[in-house]
Amino acid sequence: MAVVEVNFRGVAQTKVASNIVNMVYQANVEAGRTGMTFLRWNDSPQRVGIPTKIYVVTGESLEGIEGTSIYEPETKNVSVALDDTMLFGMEAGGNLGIESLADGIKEKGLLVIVTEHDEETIKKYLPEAENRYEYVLVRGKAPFAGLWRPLESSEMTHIKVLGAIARYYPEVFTYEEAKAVIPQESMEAFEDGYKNSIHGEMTETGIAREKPKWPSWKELPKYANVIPAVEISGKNPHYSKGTTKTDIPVINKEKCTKCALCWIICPEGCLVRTPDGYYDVEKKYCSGCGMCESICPPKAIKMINLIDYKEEKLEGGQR
Amino acid sequence: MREAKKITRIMSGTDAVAEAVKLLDIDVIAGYPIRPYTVVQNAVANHIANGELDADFFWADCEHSQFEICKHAALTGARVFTGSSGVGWAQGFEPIVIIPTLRLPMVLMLGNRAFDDPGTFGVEWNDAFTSRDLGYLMCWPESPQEAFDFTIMAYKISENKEVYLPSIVNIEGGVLTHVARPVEVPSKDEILEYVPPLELAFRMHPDKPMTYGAQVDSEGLMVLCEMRRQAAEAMENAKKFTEEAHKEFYQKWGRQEDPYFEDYYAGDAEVVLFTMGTMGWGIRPVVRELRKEGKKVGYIRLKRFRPFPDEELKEKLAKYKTVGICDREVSLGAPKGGGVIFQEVRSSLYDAPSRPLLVNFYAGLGGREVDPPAAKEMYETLLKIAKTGKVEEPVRWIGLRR
Repeated sequence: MAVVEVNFRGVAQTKVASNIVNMVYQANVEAGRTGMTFLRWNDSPQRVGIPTKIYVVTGESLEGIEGTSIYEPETKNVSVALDDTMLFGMEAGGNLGIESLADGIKEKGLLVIVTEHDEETIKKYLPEAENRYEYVLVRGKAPFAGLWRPLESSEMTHIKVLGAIARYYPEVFTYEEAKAVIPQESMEAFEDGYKNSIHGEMTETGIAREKPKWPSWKELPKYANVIPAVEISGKNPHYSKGTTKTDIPVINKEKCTKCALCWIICPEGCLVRTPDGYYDVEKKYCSGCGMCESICPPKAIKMINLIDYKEEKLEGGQR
Repeated sequence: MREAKKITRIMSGTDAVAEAVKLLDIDVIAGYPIRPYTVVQNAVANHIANGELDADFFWADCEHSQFEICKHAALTGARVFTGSSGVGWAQGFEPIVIIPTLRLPMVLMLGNRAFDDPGTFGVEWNDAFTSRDLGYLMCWPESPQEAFDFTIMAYKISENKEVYLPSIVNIEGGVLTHVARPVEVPSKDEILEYVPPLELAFRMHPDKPMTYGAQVDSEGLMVLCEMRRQAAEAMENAKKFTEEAHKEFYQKWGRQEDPYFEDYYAGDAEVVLFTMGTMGWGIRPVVRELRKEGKKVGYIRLKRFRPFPDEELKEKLAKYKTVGICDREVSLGAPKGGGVIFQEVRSSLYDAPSRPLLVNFYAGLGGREVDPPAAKEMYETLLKIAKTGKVEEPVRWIGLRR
């Protein structure tokens, strides 16, 4: 059995992600095998921007997964990330903590990343896993073709991903098997993903993340719905929203007039007043919504892609 | 039984509830008018205005707010009282479903009333049965005295730390709410000795910020199931503490010995009518009349619906030939088309060694009175069935114009 996991951002990428797993499934069915797909419902695939997962399991039989609706594989063959900022981890709704894209990846498994950044940059941020794995960089923008935009507006990224899987992990499906389900007009994108993706190997290994353990009904606090809260004006570490963002605000203090509009509008309350009257972003709690950027009268705030931010490519912004 | 100074006053069911919450020294009440709940909130407002009760009265903008106000007040550890009727209950349903999950020991009065439309003020039990599975303890007093007693006991049982589930005191609208009888009223000291002031174990306090009713949806698959199990345990405990509350109540005031049933000529009867609430008003004279004719008929009243006295009921009903169950609400599309009490009794009797024949009567729908002729019709049906041993029509409509 082969397990493919697609990591995506809720609502904005749900359609693209579902399309990938459905086509993997379809190709396997056409090739005489069977399978099943599982959207991780316990996360929040219906909430904008929150990272979540969808799995497709394929093989000769459904043994072991038949009768399952909540599927959480121990290991996976292929992990796809539809947005490279998920390299910094994904904190889904499931209170499973921050998960890594490479959690549970098999020896010689494949991590597929949709990115516009170059290989050297991405390599710096590749997550360590228990096993050695290979990576493939599919060239393109993060596809945000969700609820309101047609799939084609994703620049056919989903088809490119299928091309990359067919070439570097043919155990899921071969080139011929995939071709049988790719529409004629999408073949160009398929070939592009097949031929032009960048392939390499991640050899550094780390330790497996511990999975949380849950108490029995007798171990739970007696009135279980009451839990310690944060102090007034404090912030809840359990709801940091740290991985919801793809972009982060950068404030140019030379342009800032200290008008405090960003501080007022921020829905997460993550702008902090500094002693000299300027504002800093408490990055952990920023959800990347960009409202501060849109309200700033002197345009002193600019949203910067997370990887560019780490690389200090600030494009006129200032830390 | 202790000899206490007895004061008897004439009160309707709603007055009795208002008197009880006054003596229980409630802290907060919220109101939004809907008859028959209006009567009780007015009565409590009078007590406050007269300086007999020191409580905050919140005039809500709708039932939803009304229950929310009281829910939040209860979280601070206040002893609260509120309630509604029929469609008002439906309007307040969102907070109503949350109260048991939050494990708040609130007491609500539900002045039973049929759902609109068509507009009606008559009693039906469907408003209460919307909430039967949520974790409320439910009782159905028959007289103003019992309305008083059950309100006192509701606080006693709900506020037990091993229970912490809310109670609904069902006062049948237009019947018990509006008919006055003598009520023995103990002193406030005696009441507060029986139900000491509430010390909520998880009260909200600024010194110790806590999150109440936190979203467990994400963890839901891991925690919600366990929370439900805890609530189920609390409901099991509620049964034990209901029995204890009755025992203590009986020792103090000499009333309410049996927590679940009231028997009327039921000991040696062959056929009995079984129901809740005030329907016995029309049934008892008929029982006496038929007894004079030598017919072995009886009447059993169920006082408490949740927690349901499953084992006790089985033991009680197994010996009869025929039992007629009156439902004051319809349960459309249910097995046999029968009502809620009918379903519960049938289910309870399933594993009984011997079972009586069961007939369901839809009686008193929309507030139609169950008067002696209606009661007589039911007993005649039961006697006929006991004779023939056959139930041809398991569900019958009583008082229906044909």
